[in-house]
Parts: sequence; C-alpha cells; structure tokens
Amino acid sequence: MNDQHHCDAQHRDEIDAAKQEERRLLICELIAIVAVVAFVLVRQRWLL
Amino acid sequence: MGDVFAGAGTLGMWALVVMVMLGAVPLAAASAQFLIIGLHAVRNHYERTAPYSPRVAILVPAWNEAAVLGASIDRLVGLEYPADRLRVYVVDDASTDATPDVVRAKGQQYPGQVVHLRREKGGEGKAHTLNHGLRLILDDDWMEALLIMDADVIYEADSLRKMTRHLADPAVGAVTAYIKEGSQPGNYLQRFVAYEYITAQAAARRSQNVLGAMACLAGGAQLHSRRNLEAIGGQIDTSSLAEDTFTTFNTQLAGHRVVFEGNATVWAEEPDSIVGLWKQRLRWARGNVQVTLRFKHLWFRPRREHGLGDISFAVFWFCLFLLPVFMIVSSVALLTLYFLDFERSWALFHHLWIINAVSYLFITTFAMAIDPQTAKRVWAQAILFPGAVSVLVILYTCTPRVFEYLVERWGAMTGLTWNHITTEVTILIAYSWLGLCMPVAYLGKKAEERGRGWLSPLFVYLGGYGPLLCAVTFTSYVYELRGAEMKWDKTEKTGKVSIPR
Repeated sequence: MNDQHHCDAQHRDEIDAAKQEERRLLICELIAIVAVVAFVLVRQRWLL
Repeated sequence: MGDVFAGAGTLGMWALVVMVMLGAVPLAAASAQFLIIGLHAVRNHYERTAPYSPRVAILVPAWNEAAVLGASIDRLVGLEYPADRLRVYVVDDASTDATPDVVRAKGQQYPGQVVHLRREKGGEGKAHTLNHGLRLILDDDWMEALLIMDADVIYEADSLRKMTRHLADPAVGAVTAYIKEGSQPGNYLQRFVAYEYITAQAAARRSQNVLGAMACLAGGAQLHSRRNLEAIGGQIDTSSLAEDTFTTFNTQLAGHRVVFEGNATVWAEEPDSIVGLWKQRLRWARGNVQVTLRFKHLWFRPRREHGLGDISFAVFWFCLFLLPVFMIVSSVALLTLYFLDFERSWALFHHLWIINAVSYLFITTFAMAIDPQTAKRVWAQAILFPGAVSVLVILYTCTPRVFEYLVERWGAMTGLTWNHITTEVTILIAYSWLGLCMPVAYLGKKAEERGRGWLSPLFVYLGGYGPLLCAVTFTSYVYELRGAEMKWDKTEKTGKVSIPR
C-alpha cells in the first residue's frame, strides 16, 4: 500500500516536472521569436 | 520579394527564381518544425500516462562487446525499476572475444535476470541478431514490454520508468527516449553530433509528438509493448539498412501510437572520426532512401488511422531527404542568373540568405535553450553548424554596411585592396556556396583517409557539419542508384561514454 502510494506520488511529481519543462520550452520559443523579430527590425532600421 | 519577380517575363526566368528560392525551403521548413515545439506544452501524452511497470525484457545485441558489456549489464540491473520485472537478454552475435564469458559471469552474479543467447552464425546485421532474441522472448509469456538497445549506451536510472509510463495507454505501441552524445571528453566531431541530436531528437521528435507521426525510434532506445510487437509480425525488418525506421513506420501502420519521451535520457558514444561517422550515416541515409521508396504509397495521402500520410510530415521528411538537391539546384540557378541578369541575381541572393539567416538565428537560439546542459559544452559547434563561410555570408546579408566597413578596415590594415576581379570571384563563390559547401566538408573525410586527419576539422568548420551530412545524403542516392551492396558496418565503440556530473 505504501509502495503504491509512493509510486503514485513520484509519478505525479515527475509529470508535473515534465509539464513545467514543456512550459519552459514554450517561453524560450516565444523569447527566441521576439529576439529574431527584434533583430530583423533593428537590421531594417539601422544596419542596412 | 517584388523586385526579384518584377520583369521576370519568361517562364525560364520564373523557373530560375523559384529554383534559387528552393535553397531557403529546408531551413524554413526546419523553422516551422521548431515553431511547432511550443505546442508540446499543451499537446503531449503526459495526461494519459500512469505509474506502470510491465515485465520488461531488455534485448541487447552484442558482437565483440566484452569491453563495455559488463558495465552495461550492471547499470541495466541497477535501473530504478522493480528487479523481478526486469530481465536482460544478450544476443551474442557469434562474438570472437570474451563476450560470452562476460555475459555468463553476469548471469551468475544476477541469477534469473541476465540471459545469454548465442548465435553461432553471426555477422548478418543488427536486425537478424535482434530477431534471434525476439523469437525466443515472444515464445515465452513473461515479457509484457521489450526494450531494444545497443550494448554500449547508458540509461539514466529513471529513464526506463519514464518510458514505461506511456505504455499505460493501450493506444501507444512504442516509446523512444532522448539519445545524447556522451563521450568524455569528446572531440570536435562528437560535439557537433551532440548539437545535432538536440535538433534531430529533442526538438524534431517533440514536434513529431505534436503532429502525431514519428519518423524514427532511436535504435538504442526503443520500448515496445508486446501487443505492438505481435501486431508488426513479431520481427524486425531485415531487408533494409534502416530497421529502426521500418519498425517505427510499421508500428504506426498497425494503428499504434509512437511517443517520444524527452525526459528519459540515454547516453551514447558517437564516432570520433569522419570516416567512422560517414560509414554510420551512409547506412542511415541509404536506409532513408529505402524507406522513402518502400512507403511511397503513403506520402502526401492523409489517413485517419495514422499521421504518416499527413502533408506536414511529408514536407518535413522530403525537405531533409532532398536537402542536397535543393542546395545544388539553388546554387546552379543563382550562378545562371549571375550571367543572365545580375541585378536580379543579387536581389535573390540577399532574399535567399536573409531567410536562411532568420531561420538559423531562430533554430540555433531555440535549440540551445531546449538543452542548455549540452549547449554549454557545444555552443561553438552550434554556431558553426552550417560552416564558417555560411556564417560569414549570413553576417554579410544581415549587416552589409557593418560587414563592408570591417572588410575595408581589414584591407587598410593588411594592405590588401578589393579590385574588380576579387569582388567578382567573391560573389561567384558566395553564389555557389550552398552547393560548394558539401564538397568542402567532404574534403575533411578525404584528408582523414590520406593520413592528414589534422586538416579534417578545418574543412568541417569551413564547409560545415550540416553540409557534411548533406554530402552523406547525396552519396546515399548514388549508392542506391548503383544498387551497391548493403553492408552492415558496425560503429566502433571505445566505452568512453559516461553520464556527465
């Protein structure tokens, strides 16, 4: 019983961590998109 | 883009413009694949997982692996997994070294957990070796899930548990893990591979999870449910060089889902020489040609039962498969335009490389964020993945004025000046670079073969590791057209892989 409880808790923790990692990637992706768009705008305005 | 099409009166001119822009398609498609990754936060398989520990048979094909096998078995037996639900089956492919002794000794050390299966006639390839073990394991009811791996890879302690949780969903037939290059200390080539694996596995397979169609289960980390193995005929395809991809496709055609688990990490040792890498990748690339032809009835034909016919899956597949063709066609078209209509060619050159620059910036920054632990070790290889010359062209097209100013300053310092001829030659090289970078990277292999291995990194850094892989793909077309013999060249392993602290 204790073992099962431990397994369930561990599973929940690991799935929460996995979901959090996916959210981190989503934020990284948004930052990368903003950085690229900002770079293109800077290039058009000042670097050409 | 209006300027490049303006006045493009003839069909021939239009065709040339389109051909040039083909050079931007693969990187643009790769960017689209990376954009999909964000959706993995909301479209993943985690909700349908559960704590699940089926009886797992680990199938290890081994040919002369005495140096690494003992440690591998120790680590497998020590995985965070119930010991009574885990068995290791080593299929010894007629090894001539101490492999049988090592496995027998481990069998005594872990009674009931390590099984030695011996093939007296070996050397037929990995698929035959796996099938030998698979037949025996399927004959017994004990196995509920089967993990196929390589003798030298290292599973992180929690990796198997993180893979089996997906099999709690009966719709899932197979699960694969994130293979990372783990050679310690590792040379420049292995660091390129480490970065490549962020893009090809951690990134691409996440987006394939979202799209619902997986291109390939990693050969060293594929977990199958018993039901799936029985559905695909209880054996691995032996007619091609890409048995992993065939298994992946057959699993999905049988109506089962394939899932990538990015948190289950498996460390592998990849080749440290271009010659070794070339052999391995040529086998993979020829396998991809065989898969493309064998499953030709699937491409661009969406079906409800599986995602292999989806347009997006086919576009990503063919962009990679035809990458060398796109690059060569683009260069040839640009060079033709140089002589026919320079103004148009110049504008096209800028458009082409701006698209490539934006894609490169996005992919490189995002890839490094996906796996910062690896990126810290391989950031230089990440930046120089397309090759130093391509990076220079990107810098030029992004910031022409800054670049020209720096070149002028450099010219003033060194006394070198630009005249008409040097300018024209530079333009011609830049125009042809998308096609030229492949033979330049290939020179790295030639240098190694001629005993000048110290020159190889120079060619790979100049031409690019990506273009080196494109050269392999191009060679695979030639080999398959020639009907060259399908030889199984085992990748040499030295046991230098370990989990970084």
